[in-house]
Amino acid sequence: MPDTAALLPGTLDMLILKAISLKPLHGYGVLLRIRQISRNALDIPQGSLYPALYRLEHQRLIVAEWGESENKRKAKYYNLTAAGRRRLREEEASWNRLASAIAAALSTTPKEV
Amino acid sequence: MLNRVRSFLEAVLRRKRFEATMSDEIRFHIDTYIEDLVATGVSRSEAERRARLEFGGLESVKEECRASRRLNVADGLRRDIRHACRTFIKNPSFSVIVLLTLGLGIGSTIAIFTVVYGVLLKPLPFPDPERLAQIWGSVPSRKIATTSFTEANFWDMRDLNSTFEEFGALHGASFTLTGLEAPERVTGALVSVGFFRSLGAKPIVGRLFNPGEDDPGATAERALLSHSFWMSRFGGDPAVIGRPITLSGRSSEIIGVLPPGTPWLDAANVFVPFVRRLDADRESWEYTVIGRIKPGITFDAARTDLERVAKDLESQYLTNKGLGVAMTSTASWGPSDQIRRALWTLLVAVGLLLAIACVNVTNLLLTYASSRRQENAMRIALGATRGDIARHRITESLILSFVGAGLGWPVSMALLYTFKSMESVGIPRLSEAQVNGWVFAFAFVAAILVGLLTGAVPALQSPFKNILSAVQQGTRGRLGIPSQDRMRRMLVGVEVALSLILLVGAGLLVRSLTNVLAVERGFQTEGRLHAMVSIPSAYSDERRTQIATDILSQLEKQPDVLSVSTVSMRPLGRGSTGMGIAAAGIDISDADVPWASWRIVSKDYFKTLGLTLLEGRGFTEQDIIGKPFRVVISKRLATRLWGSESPIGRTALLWKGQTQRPGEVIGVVSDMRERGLENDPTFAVYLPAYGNLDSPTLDLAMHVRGTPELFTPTLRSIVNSIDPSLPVSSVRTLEEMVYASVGSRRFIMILIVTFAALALLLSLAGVYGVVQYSLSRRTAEIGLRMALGARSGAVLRLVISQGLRPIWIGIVTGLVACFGCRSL
Repeated sequence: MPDTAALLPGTLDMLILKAISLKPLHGYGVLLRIRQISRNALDIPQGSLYPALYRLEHQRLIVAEWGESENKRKAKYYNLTAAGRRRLREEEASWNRLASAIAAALSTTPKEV
Repeated sequence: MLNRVRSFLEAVLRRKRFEATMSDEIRFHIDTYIEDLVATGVSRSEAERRARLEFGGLESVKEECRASRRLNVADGLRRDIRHACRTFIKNPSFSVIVLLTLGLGIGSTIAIFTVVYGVLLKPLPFPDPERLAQIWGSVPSRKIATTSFTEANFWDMRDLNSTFEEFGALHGASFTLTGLEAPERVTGALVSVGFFRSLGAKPIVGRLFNPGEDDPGATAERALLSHSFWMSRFGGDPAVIGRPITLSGRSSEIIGVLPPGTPWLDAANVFVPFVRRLDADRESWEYTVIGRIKPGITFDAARTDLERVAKDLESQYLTNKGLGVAMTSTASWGPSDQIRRALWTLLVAVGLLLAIACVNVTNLLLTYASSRRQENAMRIALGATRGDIARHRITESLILSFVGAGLGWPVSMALLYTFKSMESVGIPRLSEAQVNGWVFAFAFVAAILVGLLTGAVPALQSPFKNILSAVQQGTRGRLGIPSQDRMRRMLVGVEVALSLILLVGAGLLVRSLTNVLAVERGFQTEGRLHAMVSIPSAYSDERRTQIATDILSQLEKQPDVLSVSTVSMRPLGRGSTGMGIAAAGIDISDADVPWASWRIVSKDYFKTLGLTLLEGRGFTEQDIIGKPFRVVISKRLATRLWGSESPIGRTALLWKGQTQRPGEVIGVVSDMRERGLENDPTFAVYLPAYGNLDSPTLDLAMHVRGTPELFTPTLRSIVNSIDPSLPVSSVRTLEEMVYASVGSRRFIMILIVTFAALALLLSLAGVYGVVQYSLSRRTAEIGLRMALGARSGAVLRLVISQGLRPIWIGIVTGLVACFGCRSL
C-alpha cells in the first residue's frame, strides 16, 4: 500500500471509536472505515483490531449486538455508549492540542528563535 | 470498575459462548475479506492465503482478546489449581499430613471463636439494650454498693419515677409441678408486669402479662413458660396456651411462652405474676429490679431521677433510712470478668496452636518445594517469572488451607458439641453458642490468612539462583539451599518457642486449679450427699413438721447413714442469707459491723459436714429457734467479735441494724469456705432448725457409707413411703458441688492442656521432619565421613547437636517470652 503511515501508539482506540461513532459497524467494517476516512493513509494491522475491540467493550465504551451484514451473514455490530462518546470527545480534544502544539513546534523557523 | 467486573464474570461464567462468539466473529472477518479480494479479481486460493497472512496468528489474536477481558488471569488460576490438585493427589501422604494439621488447627480455632462470639460478643437478645438498666438499692453508710430491692420500695420507685418507660421486678421461687408426670420441683419466678416488657421480649406464642395484671387483687394464677421448659415438657406444642398447669397445688392458666435467650428469659422454668399487696414488705431485700429508660433520656438523668425518688422515700419511711439507689448497665449481665479473661486467653492459646500448625505446614511446604527444585528450574528456564512461581506457591497453600478449613469444620462442630455436653461448666450462654455468619466469616478469613502465611515463605524462597545446575543435577543433587535450611531451622525454633509458651501457660493453670482444690475447705466431701424434698405449702404447719421429723428419723435409722441433718441453704450455692452481727455492749459504727452468713441447721449439721466443734456445745432438739435465740458461730467470727476471749455465754446482736435480736452464743465451730473454694472462709452464724421444720423445702445433708450416689434410691423410697406426693430434687454429692463451683476454671484448664498437648505433638512432628529431611540429604556426606574414618558415635553426636540447636534456641526464646508475659 502506498503512502500509509505507521500508527502512533494509543491512537488505535481513538480511531476505532471515531469509526464506530459515524455508524454502527462490525469488526471488518471498522477496518474498512478507518482506511476510508483516512483516505487510505492509515492501515491498521488486522490482528490488533480485535484485541482492541474487546478491550473497549470490556471498558463499556462500546457495546456489541448481533446484526445482519451486507452479504446476509450474521455479524457482530459495535455501537458507541455514552461513555464511549465522552471518551472520544476527550481524546479528540487532547489529540488536537497535541497535534497543533507539535505542528507549531515543527513550523518554527530559525528566525523565530 | 463494576462494568469491568461484570464483563469479566460474564466471560468466565459463559466461557463457551465467549469462545464461540469470538471464533464466529473472526471467521466472518476473514471470509468477508476473502470475498472482497475475490471481487477485485484475485483467485480464491490466493485470496485465502493473503487473508490468513494479513490477519496474523489466529491463536495469538484470540489469546490477546482473552487477555483484554482479563481471562488470562482466570485461565492461569485454573491451570494453577488443576496442577496443584494433581500434585497433591500424587503425594497423598504429604497432603494428608498437611490437611490433618491444618484441619486440627483451624477447627479448634473456629470452635473457640464460636464460643467467644456466642458468650462475649453476641449482642443481648433485647432491642435497644443501651436503654436497659438494672436498679439496685445501696447503703453508702455501710459500704454496700448494690443490694436487692424490698417489695414496697420497688412499687414506690415504679410509681414515682418519671424517666422510665417500663419498670419491673423479679423474685426467684420454686414450685412443685404436679399433673404431668411424677411430682417434681421446678424453678419459678414471680415477675411484675413491667419485667418482660422492659426487656422488650416478644412471646413465641400467646402473650406476656398485660398492664394491670399485677395490680392489687389481680389473680396470680397465670403462667408464662420459658422456651426450654416448653420444649422439654410440652414438646413445643403451641396448643398449651389456655391449658392449666398445677404449681404447688394451685392451678394456673398458661398464657404464653417466652423466646429463648440469656439472661432473664431463662431465669426460671415458670413465671407467675408478682401481684402487688397493699401491705407490701419494707424490710426484706429480695427483689431484682430492671427498667427501660424512656427514649431520649440519658442514663445519668435516669439515675438522678431515681436518686430524687430515693431521697423522698428516705424522708417518708423510717425503714428507708440511709437507703440510696444505684444503676448498672447491661454490661453487668454478661459473663464475669474472670470468664471474660479466661475465654480471651483461650482464644490466644488456640491461636498459638494454629500458629504452630502453620509453621509445621510451612516447613512441610518448604521440604516439598526443595524436592521440586528441578521442576521449578525447568519452569523458569521456559520463561516463568518469579511472580508466576510465587503465585503458584500461594495458590497451592490456599488450596490446602481451604480444604484444611473444610476438614476443620466437622472438628469444630465436634468440639462445640463436647463443650456443650460437659457438665457444670458455669459459662453463661455457652449452650447457645452456635455457628453463624460471623463465625463463617472468621473461618473464611482464617483460611485465607493461613494460606497466605504458610505460602509466603516458600513463595519468597523460590530458587532463582543456579537454575542451570538445578536443571542439570536433577534429583541426584541433594545439597539443598543453605538459606532454606536456615529458614527451616528457624521455623522449628519458633515452633518450639510457641509450644513452650502454651505448655507453661497450661502448667500454670493446672497448678492454680490444684491449689484451689487443695485449699483447706473446712468441710469434708467424702460420702456427702445433698437432696431437697418439697413439702406442699397447702399442708398444715404441723403436718409439714411431722413429715420433716419423720424423714430425718427414718434416715437416721438407715445402717448406711452416718449422720443426717437439714440446712436452710446448702453450701457452695449461688445465693446466701446474711446478717450484720455485733457483740452486745461494745459500741461499733454501722460501717464496721461484720456481715455474716446465716444458716438454720438441725443438730447433726456440723458432724454431717465434718466441721469440728471447738468450744461449747452444738444444738439439741430443745434449742427452739428464737425462743430464745441461741447461736453457734464460726471460729473467725468469734475471733472478730471477741478476740481471744471465749465467746461462750456472751450475747451477740443478730441482724444488727435491722431487727437487732440478742442471741446467746452456745458454741464455736471450725470455719469453712461455704461460698466457694476461691473465697475466704465466711463469718458464719448457725441457728437451730427446731421450731422451723415446717418450711416447704427441706434441704437434707447426709453423710453415708460408701458411694453417696448409690444411696439416692434408698432416699427416694424412704421419702416415698412417708408421702408419695413429695418430689425429691437437686440430689448432688458435695464433691459434685465443689467441682461445679470451679467449673469454668476446670473447663478452661482442660482446653488449654489439650491445646498444649496438641501443640507439643505438632512441634515434635516438626522437629522430626526437619532432622529427618536434613539427614536424608546428608546420607552421602555421612557416608563419606564414615569412609574417611569418623566413628559412628562422633557422627551421631554431630547429627544430634545440629538437630538440637534450633530446639535450644526455641526453648530459650520461649522462656524469655514466658517471663515477659508473666508481668502482664
